[in-house]
Amino acid sequence: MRARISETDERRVVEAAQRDPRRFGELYENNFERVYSFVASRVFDRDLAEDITAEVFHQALANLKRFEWRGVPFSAWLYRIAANAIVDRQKRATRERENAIREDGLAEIDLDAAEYEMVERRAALFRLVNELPEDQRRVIEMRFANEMSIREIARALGRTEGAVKQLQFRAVQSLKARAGELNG
Amino acid sequence: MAERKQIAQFDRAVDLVLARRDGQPPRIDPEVAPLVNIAIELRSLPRREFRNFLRKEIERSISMSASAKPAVAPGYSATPYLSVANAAHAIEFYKKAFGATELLRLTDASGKIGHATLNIGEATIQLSDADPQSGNPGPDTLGGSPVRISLIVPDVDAVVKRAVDAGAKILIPVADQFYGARSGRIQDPFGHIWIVSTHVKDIPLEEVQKTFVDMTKQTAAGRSVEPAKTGYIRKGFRSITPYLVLENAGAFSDFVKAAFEGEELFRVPTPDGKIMHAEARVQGATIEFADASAEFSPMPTALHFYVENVDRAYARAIASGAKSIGAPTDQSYGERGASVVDPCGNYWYLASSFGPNPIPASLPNLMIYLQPSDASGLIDFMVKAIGADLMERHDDPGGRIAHAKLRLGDSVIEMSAAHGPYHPMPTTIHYYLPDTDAAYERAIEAGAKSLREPKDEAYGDRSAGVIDPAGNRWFFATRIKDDQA
Repeated sequence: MRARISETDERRVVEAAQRDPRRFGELYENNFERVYSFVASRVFDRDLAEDITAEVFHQALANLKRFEWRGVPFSAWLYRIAANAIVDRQKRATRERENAIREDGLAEIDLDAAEYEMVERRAALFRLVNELPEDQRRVIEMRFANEMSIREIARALGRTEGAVKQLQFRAVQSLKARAGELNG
Repeated sequence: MAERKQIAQFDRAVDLVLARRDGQPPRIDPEVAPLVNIAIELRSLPRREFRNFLRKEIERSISMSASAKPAVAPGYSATPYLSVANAAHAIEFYKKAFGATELLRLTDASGKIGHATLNIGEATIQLSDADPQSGNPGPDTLGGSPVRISLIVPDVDAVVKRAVDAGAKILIPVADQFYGARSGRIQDPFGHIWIVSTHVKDIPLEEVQKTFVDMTKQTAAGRSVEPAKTGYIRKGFRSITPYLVLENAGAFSDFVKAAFEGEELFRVPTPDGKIMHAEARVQGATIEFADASAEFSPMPTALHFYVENVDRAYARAIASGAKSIGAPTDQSYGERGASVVDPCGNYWYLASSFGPNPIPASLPNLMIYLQPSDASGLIDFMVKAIGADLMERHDDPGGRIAHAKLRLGDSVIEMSAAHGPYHPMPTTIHYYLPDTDAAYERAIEAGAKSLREPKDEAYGDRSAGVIDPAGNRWFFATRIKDDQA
C-alpha cells in the first residue's frame, strides 16, 4: 500500500500544487479515500456522498492558493470544506433529504479525535482494497461499493457462488490482517 | 469450525451488514466476528468508477483553469509601474496599507529591487527601486508625482485609515463625491498619490455632468479676478474679509507684523487715539480690525491660517506674545497644525498642508473658523439666507459636526461644533456680494436680526448689517465706488 506520506512530503506536494495546479492530481490521489470516507461517515446516501466528494475536490482546487500551512495536515482543510459542504446541503435540502443525512453530528464542522481516527482508518482500509489480488478486489468492490448480490457477482465473473463467497472471505481476512499490521 | 461453515456464516453476516442491520449476528464464530467489523467499514467503500470519473473531471478542470489563466493575456492591460526610493519599504507599506500580496520580486546583486509585482485585491501594481541615473526617478527626485493612481476598494474609509496608520498622508479627506463614489486622496510615504474610492450609488451621467459644470463655474468664479464679474468687490479684497473687533486693536497690528510679517495698510484713528478702522495684509490676505466701542463689543475670532512652515510660524507667534494652545503636530486630516491665542484673544489655527503645497491652492490661505454651539443650525442659516454652498461636512461618530467648509463667493468659511477649549467665537464678517439689499432682506426673512439697514457709505460701499442666530455680525457690502478712479 501507499505509505502514509510524511508531513514534509505532504507540504512539498501542496506547495507545488499551489504554484502549478497541474500538480493537484497528486493531492487528489493522496486524499481521495480520506475525503470520501469522511463524507460517507456523515452521509449515508451513496449518490449524495459522491456528489459532495466531487464538490470538495473542485472547491479545494479552486481555493488551493488560500490554503496556508499552519502545521495541520492538508486533509484537515479538506475535511473542513467537506463538513461545510455537508451542512450547506443539509440546509438546502433538509426537507427532501432528511433521511439520507445522519441527524446527529451534522451541525458539527470539526472532527473530534475519535472521528478523525476512524476516518483515517477507513481511508487506509479502502486503499488496502486497491492492493488485493485482482479477483478478490473485484469481488469486494462489487459486493460493497456496487452492492451486488453474490449471485449477480457470480454471473458477472463467470464463477460459482461458492467461489465468490470464498473470494469474499479470503479478501476480508487479508484486509483484516493487513489493517492489523498498519494499526499495530 | 470448518472453513466452509465460516465462509457461509460470514456471507450471511455481510448480507445483514449491507441491509444496515448493525451488530453481530447471533451465534457467530469468534474467528468470523472481527471480519464482520471490517465488512461494516467496507460498506462505505467508494465506487471505483466514481474515483476514476472524478479524477478525469478534476484533470479537465485543472487544464481549463490553466488555459484560462491570463499567463498570456489575450487583450490589452495597463499596470502602474512605480519608481520608489526604497522599494523594499514600499512593498511593506503597500502590504500594510492596502493588504497587497507580493507575487514576484527580483533583487539585483547590490540588493536593489529591480522589479516587483504586487496584487491589491484583483488589481496589480509593479514597482522597482528608483534609479535617477538610468532615467528612472522617483517622486522624491521629481518633487512630486504627476500621476494619480485610482484604487477602487470595498471600504474606502477602512483602507484610508489603514494607509494613514501605515504612514500615508491625507491630501483630500474621504467624502461622498457628486459622481456617486465615496473617495479620498492620499499620498504614500514614497510620494505616490492614490485616489481611493468605493462606489456608493449610480448617478446618471447627465446629472454628473450638470453638477460638474455648476461646480466648475463656482470654482472659476472663485479663482477669477475678472473685474466685470467681481466689480462689486472692493479692489484687493475677497468676498469674505474677517473683521476683528478687539479690546486693543493696536496690539493686534503689532502682533501680525511681528509674528506673520503682516503689514498695516490703513488706519482711521478715533479722536482719543483708538482705532476706528484699520486694514492689514498678512501673507496676501486682508484682515480688517478695529477697537471695540459702545456699539460693537469685542469679538476675538478664530482663524485658520495656512503658512509655508507651521513650526516656524508657531515659534514666531509665541515669540511675539501669543500663547500656545497646541504645539505643531501632524493631523490625521492631512495637515501639520498648531494653535496659538494672540495677545488680543484671537485663536490662530496655523497649518501646513501635506499636499503638493503647504498652502493649498484651492483654498484661501486665511479663513474664518466658526465654533458655534449649534453648527448644524448655522450651516442651515448660511445656506438658506446667506447663499453659502456647503462644500463638505464631516460628522464625528457622536453626530457632532467635526468639520465643515462653506463657500461664499470666492471665499471659504470653516466651522466645527463647539467642543472643549474651542468655545463659540462669533465674529464680524465683511461680505462683498452683488446685491446687498437682496441679501439683507433674505437674511431678515430667515430670522437674522437687523443691525443696520442698507445704506450707501461714504467710503464707497453700499452696506447693511445683520446678526445671525449664532451671534455673528455680517456686514453685507456691494462696492459702488469705482476703485479705478
